[in-house]
Amino acid sequence: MVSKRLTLSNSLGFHMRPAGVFARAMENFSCDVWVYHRGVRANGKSIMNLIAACIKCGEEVEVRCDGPDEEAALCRAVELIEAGLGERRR
Amino acid sequence: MLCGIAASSGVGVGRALIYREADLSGGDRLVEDAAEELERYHAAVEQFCVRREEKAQRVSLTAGPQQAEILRSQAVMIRDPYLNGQIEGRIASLQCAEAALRTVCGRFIETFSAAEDEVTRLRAADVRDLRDGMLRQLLGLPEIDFSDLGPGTVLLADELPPSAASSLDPANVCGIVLRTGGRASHCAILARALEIPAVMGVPEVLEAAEEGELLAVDGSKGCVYLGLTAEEARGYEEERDEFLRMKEFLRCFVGCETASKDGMRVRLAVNVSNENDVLRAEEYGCDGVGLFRSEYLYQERDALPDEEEQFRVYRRMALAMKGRPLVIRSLDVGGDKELPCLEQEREDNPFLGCRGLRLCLREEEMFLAQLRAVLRAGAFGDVRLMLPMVAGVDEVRRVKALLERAKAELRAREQAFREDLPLGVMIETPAAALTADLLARETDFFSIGTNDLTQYTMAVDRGNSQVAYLYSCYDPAVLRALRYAAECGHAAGIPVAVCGEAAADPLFVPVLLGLGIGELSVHPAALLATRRAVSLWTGEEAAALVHQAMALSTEAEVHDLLEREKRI
Repeated sequence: MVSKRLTLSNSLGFHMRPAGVFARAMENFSCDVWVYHRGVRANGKSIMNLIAACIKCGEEVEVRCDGPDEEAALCRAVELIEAGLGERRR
Repeated sequence: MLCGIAASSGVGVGRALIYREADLSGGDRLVEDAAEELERYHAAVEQFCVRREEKAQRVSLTAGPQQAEILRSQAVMIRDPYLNGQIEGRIASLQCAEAALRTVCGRFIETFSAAEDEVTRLRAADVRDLRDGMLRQLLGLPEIDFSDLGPGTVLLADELPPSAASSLDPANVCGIVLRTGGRASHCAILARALEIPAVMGVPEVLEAAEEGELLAVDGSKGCVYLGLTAEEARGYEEERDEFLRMKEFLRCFVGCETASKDGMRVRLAVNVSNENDVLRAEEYGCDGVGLFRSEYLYQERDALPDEEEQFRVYRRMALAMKGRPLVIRSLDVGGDKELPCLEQEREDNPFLGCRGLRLCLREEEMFLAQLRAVLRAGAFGDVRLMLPMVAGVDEVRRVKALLERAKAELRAREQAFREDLPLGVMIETPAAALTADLLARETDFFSIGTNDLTQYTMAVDRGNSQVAYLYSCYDPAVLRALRYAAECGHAAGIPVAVCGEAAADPLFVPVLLGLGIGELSVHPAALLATRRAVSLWTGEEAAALVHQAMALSTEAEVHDLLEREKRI
């Protein structure tokens, strides 16, 4: 299992569109992807779960990947979040 | 008569069809074979997605791609791995598909409904619609389908879920009355796209109306008339025909020049809040954008839009105008219109507080970003900048200094911009109206915002029912403010426009013509009617009307005069 803590920088947090960008990208990996936020765990491959987690801009999350391609998945997840999930950064 | 929110204009007369949501609570039972139940569930998901896609394609043709997107997003949701996993898990532990779906969707509805931001809250309606559509699949109930309702149906309902609303056929449904909803709801947007008269937010409609009775819906006034006799119905049919005749008649003003009866050209521009409004205006034809409310770029977001994002929007709009003017109003918010992305202090008197230009001058960095974006967009079209809530010359000078700073920064970056960006002020405070002679020397154009000018001149809050009667642009005080501002503008040789609701008031249009206002800027839906109103008067007749109006002492007298002289 690998993990990294980082701060969400896109303007709206995990909304329908950014959540879709993230979930679709994570689906390409076979490992499990979890996004931890305020002690709640959201499935990183689920748009619904990510929206429901109500993660807002400026909040810290921890991304955990667990499985055969975990390194690549985490790398991609960090890249996406740091790039603002297809949105403008604050 | 019942009253509600006027959600889609026009008059519809027909027979009531009360739509009640079917009972979807059944179907709970014990499951013996989990694999079989899972198969049943998966088949329902497949069918559901096929149906949604069919509907999406149909609605895309009738009401546009945005409505179709709403339906497609439901297919994405039901295939979501987490939601699916939750449901499958419950089925695997021998819960039936219906119960599993209800529980899991119910949790999402609860979470989304409790969200702080509106965008997420709106998703709850989608989950509800998705759940009900799936339950119909599982229970073997037909999809809600309004496409084969008989002609002359007025649909009454609690609410219409997006999937049901998408099957509305304007050939059959001549009116909609809903217990819930408002102008911004999915259904209202759809009704306007399909041109079906609609009234929403009528709490008592389902109890008051009887299935099959004759009723009329006035979607322009927000009224519903129940239990009509055949004769009364004919009266409303005449109103409907009149509305349609007028609408059809106004079509002949599409794409025309705007001119008075004696051929004097008047510029007819449009007020827009976003890029979609521009598309609507282009259907009818206009001489440019007279007011672009830049607020929408700042709303519903946690962070301020940066220069680049604003620049891209302004540039797109400038290019869309193809050489016609695009007047961008700098950010106009204040205590009454709060922005989540900006810290604003609570004020006791927000309308007299830090709003409009005052806020921009306080938030210099934010304002500079907007100024740079506007200046840069100016390299791509006839972009102009307009300042709201100006109270005097000093503020204009401060903006000019900031503009110079913004230009210097752009020069240092070697970015193209409009060096001679025209700078105008809105005349909407008595201070601006009274110093119009001074302001005219320092600016390139005036635009009179009659809504705020009326409010501040009369010192009245139009939302306060005790004093709302005082709110009228026909008042001699407002007329004098208008006349002085227009005269000062003309004396200085700068263009004077009017961009408030008064510009679209057919009674008031001749007064504005008579005052020599050279540009009217109205909302897209009012373009044709305003173009026609202008065409009914000669310059001389309008000037004579102003002369008469100025001699009157009260609002009521002016109102009477304008009614008497009204031209249809």
